[in-house]
This record gives sequence, structure tokens and C-alpha cells, in this order.
Amino acid sequence: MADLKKFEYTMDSCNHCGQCKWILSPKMHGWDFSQICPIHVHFGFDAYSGQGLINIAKEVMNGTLQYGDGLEEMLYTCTACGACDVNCKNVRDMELLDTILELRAHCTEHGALPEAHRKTAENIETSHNIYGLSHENRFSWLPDSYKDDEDADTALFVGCSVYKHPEPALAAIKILRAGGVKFKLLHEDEWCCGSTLWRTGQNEMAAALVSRNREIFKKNCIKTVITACAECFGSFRAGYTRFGENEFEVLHITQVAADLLKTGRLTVTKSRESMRVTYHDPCMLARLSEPYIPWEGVIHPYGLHEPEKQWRRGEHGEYHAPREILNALPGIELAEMPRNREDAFCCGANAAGIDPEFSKQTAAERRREAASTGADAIVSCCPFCRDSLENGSEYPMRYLDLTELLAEML
Amino acid sequence: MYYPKSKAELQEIIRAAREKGTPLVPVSSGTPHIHGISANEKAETLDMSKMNKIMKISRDNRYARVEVGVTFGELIPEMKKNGLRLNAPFLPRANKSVITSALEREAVLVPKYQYDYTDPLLTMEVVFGTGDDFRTGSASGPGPYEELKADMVSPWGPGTVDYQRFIMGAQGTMGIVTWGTLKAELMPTKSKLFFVEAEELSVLTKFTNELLRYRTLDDCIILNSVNLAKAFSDTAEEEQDILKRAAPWTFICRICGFDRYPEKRIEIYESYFADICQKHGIEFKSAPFGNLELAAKIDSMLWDCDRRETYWKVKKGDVREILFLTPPSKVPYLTETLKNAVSAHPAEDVGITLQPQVQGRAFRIECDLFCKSSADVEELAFNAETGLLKNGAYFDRPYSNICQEVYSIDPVGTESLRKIKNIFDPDGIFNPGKLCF
Amino acid sequence: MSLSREIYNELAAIVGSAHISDKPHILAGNRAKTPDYPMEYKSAEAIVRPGSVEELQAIVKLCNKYGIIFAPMVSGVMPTAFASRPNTIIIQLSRMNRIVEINEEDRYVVIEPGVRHVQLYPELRKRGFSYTAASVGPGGSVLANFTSTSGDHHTQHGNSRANRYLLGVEMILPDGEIIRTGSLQTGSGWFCPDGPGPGLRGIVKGYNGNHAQFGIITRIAIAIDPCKGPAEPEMSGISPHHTVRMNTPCSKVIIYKFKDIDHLRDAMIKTGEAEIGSTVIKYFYLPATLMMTDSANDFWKMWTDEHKAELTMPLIVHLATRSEEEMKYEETILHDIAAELGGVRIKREYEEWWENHMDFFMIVSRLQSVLRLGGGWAPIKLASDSVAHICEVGKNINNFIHDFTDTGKIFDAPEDYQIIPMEYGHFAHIELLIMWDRTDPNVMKGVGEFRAASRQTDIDNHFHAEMPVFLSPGSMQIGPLYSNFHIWLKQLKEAFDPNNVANPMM
Repeated sequence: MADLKKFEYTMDSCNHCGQCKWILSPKMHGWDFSQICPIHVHFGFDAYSGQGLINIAKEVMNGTLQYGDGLEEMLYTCTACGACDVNCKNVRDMELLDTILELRAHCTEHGALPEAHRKTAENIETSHNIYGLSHENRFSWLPDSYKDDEDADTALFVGCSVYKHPEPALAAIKILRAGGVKFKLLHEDEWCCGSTLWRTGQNEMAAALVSRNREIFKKNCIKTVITACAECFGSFRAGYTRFGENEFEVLHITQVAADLLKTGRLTVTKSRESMRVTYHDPCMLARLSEPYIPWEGVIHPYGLHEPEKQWRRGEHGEYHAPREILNALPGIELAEMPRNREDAFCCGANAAGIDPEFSKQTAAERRREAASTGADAIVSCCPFCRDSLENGSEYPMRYLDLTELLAEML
Repeated sequence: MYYPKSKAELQEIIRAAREKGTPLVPVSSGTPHIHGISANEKAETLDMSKMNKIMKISRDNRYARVEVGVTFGELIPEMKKNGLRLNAPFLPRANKSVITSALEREAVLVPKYQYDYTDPLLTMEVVFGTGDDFRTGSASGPGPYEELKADMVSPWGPGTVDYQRFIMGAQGTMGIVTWGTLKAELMPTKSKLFFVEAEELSVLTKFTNELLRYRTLDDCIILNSVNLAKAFSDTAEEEQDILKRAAPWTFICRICGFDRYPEKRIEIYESYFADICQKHGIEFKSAPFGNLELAAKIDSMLWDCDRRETYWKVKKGDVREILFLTPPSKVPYLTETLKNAVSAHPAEDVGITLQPQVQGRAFRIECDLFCKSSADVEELAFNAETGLLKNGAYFDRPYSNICQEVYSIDPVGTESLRKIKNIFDPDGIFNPGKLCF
Repeated sequence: MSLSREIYNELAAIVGSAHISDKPHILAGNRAKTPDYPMEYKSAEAIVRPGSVEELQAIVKLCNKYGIIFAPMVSGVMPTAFASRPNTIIIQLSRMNRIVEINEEDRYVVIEPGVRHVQLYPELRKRGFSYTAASVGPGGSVLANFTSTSGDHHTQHGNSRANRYLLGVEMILPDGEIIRTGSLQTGSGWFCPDGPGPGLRGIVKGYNGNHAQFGIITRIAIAIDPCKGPAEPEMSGISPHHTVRMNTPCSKVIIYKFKDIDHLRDAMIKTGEAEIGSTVIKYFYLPATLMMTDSANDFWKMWTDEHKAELTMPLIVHLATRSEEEMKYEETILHDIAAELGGVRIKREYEEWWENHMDFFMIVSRLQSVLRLGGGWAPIKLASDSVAHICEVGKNINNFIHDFTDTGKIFDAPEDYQIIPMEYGHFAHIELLIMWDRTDPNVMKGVGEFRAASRQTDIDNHFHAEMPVFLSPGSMQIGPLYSNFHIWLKQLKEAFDPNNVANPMM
């Protein structure tokens, strides 16, 4: 059951300092691209921000605000990208994102979950993927020549996005093979990671799916899960740990590849035309990927947490591996966007089902920022960011998947 | 004519004036004769010159508190005795009230010490047209003046209103100031004077702008040859000699050292000064046109008032001033506009002084039309002022007939000022119908 | 009284339907109680977001026509940015966020209300300029800092408070008319705040601003200066462990501790007399410790007697010079002054913390971490006078604070006040930052008693230590002690806002 009361300390601590809306000052660079909250940029009202959402959570908890009149749409237009949470935690001991997720769980329990997310859950339940496509076709892209390393205790988890974009998965296979990593696929055992469920507050279903997937990893003797998708990576690392401890290690393909390159097990052999690129940090690979660390205890006066709490501040998200890879590719010059790493601006993909126009505008804002660096292409490694960034008429920009880019040059 | 000697007497005079409906025109250093101010015909004069006590000079906290009648001639030596100097205007009249000068936002000699146009005036006591007394900033309280432990040097407030800014520049139309606290600076232990001579003013303004933005200088002023000659000559021959030999423009500046390692400070700042001079292709000298005697005279006079029998501006009998402010970028254009506008006046009687103010963010440009009677040049001066106003000159002290032109530009602003005036002087006993209102 | 549909539609016609809302969940974003103020806010009837001066002017005229109260806001840090009574709309100014002009030659910048420090500061810094960014944090409105808050900041020893840098102002009066102050009034540009004759600038801001009681400020010019140190300091790391360094021999942080406030005062005055130092500050060590730590628990670990002894009476000096020779000159003088007054250099690790967080001297990125202990806090005193007087005020705090700290009514430490000199020691600003346990339902009673004791001590001692501000019942009570300022303020308010629609607050 959702328990908003757990986050009352956060709700009551906010002084409206605005750090949930604005870039951290060590990252300051100028007038433009200084806001970090996509909904605040787009809608402008303070309600559309980390601060606003915890104010709303408090009123919902107290019963002074009811669902309806657009509240639930607003709640789910937030992409839960976590920028507000990371920036707030730069200065405060507050849990903005978890309060928002708890409010979503509360909203779900009160039957106010928007239809788009209800439908996704239904798809996962019936077809084991977010799109509602046939489970049988999940690996239809796999070449006949592919063979698992049967005795491997490492699985490559390709994720639901493979229905739309099989190329990153193929590239991941090529990289792992070239680096001599033994792995196998889960084939018909691979179901959705469940990211959409826990991020939308459908925790009961999420818990069941997490449990099922953990069993599958156990059944297949999997100790390490390599994901080809940033969303799955974040989900396994930061989402699953909300439902108990993982008994497997989670790696993203870029982490594996960066390590292979560093240790000389992987060599870049081909070159390509010189290109200036910029890198977009996917939220779920970067600031949101720190493992969830449950904490229960007492908050004493003056903020003393007993027992001591281990804070997730986004500091240990994966920021380095993708950049190490890009820096290792001949002819590729990396130009950073003003909002990068923990302050990266979300692409807006998560809100596409709730407010497509907002989602489009948010992606356009990110492409505008990418263009401001003088880059020829925007590079990332998340299929959902790809969907969001690749197809847009405003500030069009070439999108390159990092995994594919590396694989091409091996 | 009234000569109050205390606040109580002043309040009594104001109460009586309110009852009788008699307008009052305050003066603090004799009849003003250089701003073209004429008192209202029915008004009675309130001469504040008898309130002339130096109330306190604090070396440790660097300020002086004086009554409104205290003059430059009286205060400067007292300050010096305490190791202090006043950031004063350029060669003011010895009998000029120090507080009045500050209230009028007169230009000061050291722009780096001026953080705001209100500097060096910090706090004040004023009696409003209602007869109520009031103290500004940290002089406001708590409690009566006599018991207040504060040094009364913080200029802002009290509360959310800057009352000081209603009173400054109002020429007594809001209330009568009885005393003021003035910011003081340490008297340098060593200093060095530099001169730059230029044919064109534009050369000097760009260079001055750069010097001041880095706080390189202490004193800083630019004079045309006429004002250089008028200010620093004691005889007609001397004046003619300077006029003949001086460059069209002379830039005078000073770098100072204080108690600790003064020579080192001067050495370091002189190197910065030299670098900026070099960058602008400017040669600096230790004396104007090689005249070391004149340099020594300037050195000795610059930190004092004009104690000579005849004030340097009225050697010819009278002077009509044209005063305006402008940001650095507009200085060359507006100075040229000014020169053209007064070209009908004999060139040897057109003095121009430029004083960078407030860290060099603005220049006070002062044109002195030396004449036998200011009435003779009024039309010329007014036309020049009108032209300058149209070209963007800012007449922040619109003392002359330009007043009406200035206030007609923004009726809403003028009406707002009237609302304020009506609060502090509801019966209109201070300078009714005159000056700004 | 809720806003009628007709009025709502008229407002919507001015700003467009996307920029107005009266939906309950949108209003909820601007009515939450904050831990630092005891009052519950009223809900606004609507929130309106104008995009231009013209739209704003039309809104204000409409409010006058229908007697609707308006409270403008940008970041919402101050309690005055919320509805204080029914029949109020909040005018959110964040869409008016342009940097209108950066004038490098005449050294000013013109901005609208929505521009934040984190936007303006880097724009100026990369051009080699800086401004007096108030100690408020990156998301604060620059305009609000210059016009509404005191605007005091860490670096004012080498320059001054924000008041000194506020130039031309454009403001919509409560009746909807526009005024412009100083040189702007006669179309002569933004550079001068005063005149012609007496200035309208007087109603814009006194010690503090009036928080829209005399109207809404739409554009201001602020003065800028060349920045101290490199145009682009070296910034690295991931939150919360960023570093911001000025890697140049012309920038150094030196901290001496003194045995008492008298010695520190003399050191402060002497650095001012010598005109050295970009920043000279006696910083409060409880907030400093919070800025140095990552969580409340970290704070409590660091809050040891040894740590406190090191930081109780520190004179933090940032020397920023134009040459290495000048650095040597300033360092020598500083060391001489410290030696004369028994100053002891504190542990190098503390100096290094400041050298790694040079944003403290720029825009203070981690300032909000002083609220990490739960958010119950308040700055007390907040006035300025001579360094000597302000140090006397600081010294006197010891005479009444212990009754409150020892009984747990507030949390603070001995000598934990901030004194920042300005204009090379001509005056100084004081701030006592107290904290309280906001989870205690009765805590505000003790906080109120502390405030009263602080004020009464100043009155009894005739210290100018706390500036009364608004037309509150408290101000009315003590107004007679402060030149009856409340009477004049009330008359001014009535003259400019006869309908009392401009953020009446109290």
C-alpha cells in the first residue's frame, strides 16, 4: 500500500529554494539551457516541478486535494527523470523522486491511473512486452548463425525495445563476441523488465514481475545481466532493489565495452569520417541508476536519521563509460551539452503516452541544446531516448546509438 | 530672514510658517548665486548658516557628522587633523555648506570611493514641512539621537523606503536638513600626481573608463584649458599663460598610498596605470606642459577648497553653469554637442570640467559660461541645455529654466514626485512653485 | 470570494489560456506552508503568467478595476510572494525573463524579473564581468535580490550591497501607470538611479525592498564590474561533490582566527583601511559546517568542539589581485595585521575547502544546504552600521541567546553570527541565523520569544541592529522608536495604492 506519510519529512522541508528547477551552479554556463525540469520548462507553473509535486502530495495525503480535473495527467506528464531529486539532494536531505513515485502508487491505488499506463500494464501481462506485440517474435531479429554460450552465467538482456530497434542488441552481441565475453540470451524466458510498472506506481504488478524475472535468472544460472537498453539497466539496478535485494550483478553494455577497451580485449580497427558529436545521458543509465537502498528508521529533530541513511544522490550513476568509449573512437570529437551528466535534460520520452505534444517539445528542446554545441550528431544508448530524439521536425539532428557506433568500428 | 540655531527653533519657524501660510526658502551658505535660483517673491528666507557645529569626527569609523551650516573651509582642516579627508567636489567655495553640496549630489574627486550617487552623504536629520523631524538610515533609531549607540553611517531606510533619496536633489522642497553624516576617507600618507594632455577628449574618456573600472586611480578629473587656467591661476597673467600653453584637455589623476607600504602600493598601481596608458598610446607626465610649479600648485589645491578672496568661478563676475550626467560611452558626443551649442560664447570664457563619478560609471559634465551677468547668457545656455536634453544628456539637477523641459518628459513620474512632496510638505511651504515643483 | 468566470476570462484574454489557471492542483503548487515561516498561506484565486510589460500592465489595471489583490512572484522563496488574504491572484513573472541589454562599456545590465542568478552570472562572467550576487543561491531572481531583499552578499567588503548597484528601474504602479526612475525618466538611459531632482528611486527600495507594495518592478539596470579572478573558473565533479577552483596565483583564500570579536573587528577595520581583499567576512560557522557536509548526519559528526573552536571567530579573506606582485603586497599586509592582533592561521584544510568552492565568492551554490537540518531557520538582526557598532551588536548576542539555546528553544552556537564589512570597512552588515526544530509543534512560541528578546535588547541598548520593515503590527509598535517611519510609510502606501490591491501582505 502506498504510504505518503513516509515522505512527510520531505514534504515539510521544502523552502521553495528552486534548486529542483535550476541547474546546479557549478554547471552554470549562461542564460539558455539553465532549467532542468522538463515539465517546468514547458508548463511554467510551479505545480509542475519537484517542489509543486511534493506540495500536491501533501494535500493529497491530507485529503485537501482530490484526483480529477487533470491532476493525474499532470502527475504522469512528469517524466520522473530525477533531475529535481539529484539537484535537491545537492543541498537538502529530501526524497523528491520517491515522493513523486509514492504519489503515483497512491494514484494507482485510488483508481486514477491514466489509461495509457493501464494499457501498457495490460500489454506486459498478456504479451510480456510494453507494446502488446507477440511474445514469440521477441527474438525474431536474431540471425540464424547466433549461438549461445551454453555454460555462460552472463545473460544479455535485450529489452522490449528490441521489437522496434533490434540494431543495438545485434551490436551488443558483436561487441561481446569481439571482446571474448561468454554470454547467452534468455530467449522465450525474457519478459519485460517492468520499468514502466514501478515507475508509474503499479507496484503490485511490478513486484510480481520482478519476482518472476529473478526466478528466471536463477533458473538460467545467471550471475550477471548485461543490458543493451539503458531503461532495463536502471530498472534492474534501481527499480528491482525496491523489491528486495538482487542476487545478480547488472551491467550496461557500455560499461562492459569501456572495460574491454581499457583492458585491450577490444580494439577499434576501423575509422570513419570525422564527426563532432554530443552525448545525451539517458536518465536510467545515469543519475537514476544508483541501486535503491531501503531505509527505515526515525528522523530526529534537526534531520538526524537513525539509523544513518545511505543517500542516493545520482553521484554514482554511469557517466564515464559512454564518454570513455566516444573518446576512444578515432575521428569522433565529443562536445558536451551545457546540461550534462547529473544535470542532463530528459528527452521527454516517458510522457509520450500522456502528453505527446509535451514529449515532442521536450525532445526538441534537447535537440536544440545538442545543436548549440555545433555537433553533427547526438549520441546516446537508450532506445526510448532514440524514439524521442530521432524523429522530430524541430531542430532535426542525426541520432547515433553508441553501441551501434562502436560495433561498426570494430 | 530666519536664522535657526537648533532643530527646535527650526521646527518652531516651520510651525509658524504653516500657520501663516508663509513660504520658506532655505539657504545654508549665503545666497546661492551660481545656479540661477531665485526665491519665491513672497517667501521668507531660512538661513541655516548658524547651525554650524561639527558634531563628530571619527577617525576609526571614518566619518564626520556636521550641521548643515558647516562649510568646506571649516571642515577640511578639521578632517585633516584627524587623519581624514573628505571626498569633496573640485575646488568648492570655502563658504559652501558641505551638507548642501552633498545633498545636491555634486561631483566628487575620487570616483572609486563613490559607490552611489548619494555618496558621501550617509545619513541625515530632516524636518519635514509638517514640522516633524526624521532621521534616515541607521540614524533612524531605536530611540532618540542622543541615546543611539550606532555610528549612524548606514544610508538605507528606515524600512522599505529610501527617504534620503526624496530629500537629496530636492533643494529643500521636501524638508530642511539639520545635519548629515559624511563618509570620510583616510588621508593618504603618500601620493603621486599624473597628468595626461590631449587634443581630443575621446582619447581620454576611453582610457579613463578602463582605468576606473579596475579602481586604478584615486583622484581623477579632466579640465579643458580654460578651467585649468581659471582654477589654478592667481593672477590674470598667470591665467593667460596657462590658457596659452595648456593642451585643450588635461587629465589629472592621483595614486595614493596609505599607512602600510605606501610606496609599494603606488609602485604597483603606477605600473597598472602605465600599462593602460601604453595600451591606449597615451603618454603621461608629472606636470602639465612641463610646468612643475603648476603641478605643485595643483597638488596642494586639489584636496582643499578655494580659499582665495574671489572664488575661481566668478573671477569674471558671474557664471552660468550647464550641468549634466552621462554614461562614458556618450561623453565625446555630448561634449561636442555642448561645445557647438555654446560656440557663440567667447571660447576663452567656456570652461568645461569632466568628472567621472560612481566608480567611473558616469561622467558629470560641467560647462561654465564665465560672464559678467548670468542673465546675459541665459538664452544661450537654455538653448544649449534644451539641445543636450534632446540628445540624451541627463539633467539630474535641473536647477535652471530647463526644469520645466525635464519634468514635462514624463508626466506620470512628475505627478508621482508631487504625491511624495504632498506627503512631506502638505501645505506647500517649502519653495512653492519653484525649482523642481 | 472566488474569482468570477468573467474576470478569469478577461485575465485569460490578456495572457492566453495556457498562462492562467485556477485548477486546484495548480494552485496547490503555490500555497504550501514552508518550514521557515509559521503562517499558513491562503490559496490564490488564480495564477497568471504574463509574458510582457504590456500584459502585466493590463492585469494590474484589471485588478484595480475589480478590487482584486495581486502578489507578484518569481521564485517564491519569500513569504510575501504568496496570497496573504482572500481575493488574491498570484502574478508569476517567470516568463518575463530576458536579459535585455549587457552594456560592457557603460558597465550595466538590464534584466527582467524572471532572470536567475544561475543565468546572469555566467553570461557576465564569460564577458569578464561580475555583479553583486546576493547570497541566495542559483535559482533566485536577480531582480528580486536587488529590489526586494536586502541583497547583502559575501563579497561586499571590496564593493557594496546591492542597493548601491541598482540603477534605472521601470515599475508599474498599483494603479497600472508606469514610472521610470533616474535617467530613465527623461529618456537618458539606464545608468543613473537618482533624480531628476529628488528621486522616485526612494519608493523602490529602502534598506529592504517593499515586495510590490508600491507596484511591480518590470525591468531594472544593475551595475557590473570586472570579475575578480579568471573569467571561467575550473569546475569539475558530480553532485554533491563539485569543485569550483580559480587556478591562478592571483587568487588566494587565507583564514585567520582571533581570540575574540574585538580583535577580529580591528583586523576587519585595518584590512579595510589598507583597501586590500576582495572578500573579508566573519562567516557563521554553523552554516559553514552545513555547507561543508553532505547530510544532517554528516553535520552532526563534524560538529565537534575541535571543529567549532577552529571556526568560531574566523576572518575569511579572499585576496584577488591583478598581479602576483600585488598578491604579495596584499598578503604581506594581511599577515602583518593578523600578527599585530594575535590572529592564528586556521587549519589549511579549511582554507582548501573554500579554495575548492570558490562559488562561495560568486553565487554560493550550496547555500541552501544551511536548511538541511529540516528547514526551520530565520535570519535575525539584518542591519548595518559601522564595523565597530555591528561588532558590538554581535558581542551583545551572547547576553541573551543562551537562555534560548540552553533550553532548546532554538539551535545556535556561541558567536555564530555573520559580519560582512562593505566599501572597505565603512559599514558592516550583521546576520544571526538561528535554527529550530520544526517538528516540535510548540517551537514557534520559543522562536517568537527569542525574536522579541533580540529586539528588546537592541532597543534597551540603543543598538541599530534590526531594521523594521513592512507595515506589520510589530512595525507599528516600534515605529515611534525609528523616527515614526511607519506613519510616513503608511501615507506613501495610501498615496500610491489607494485601493490597497498591491500585495498588502499584513
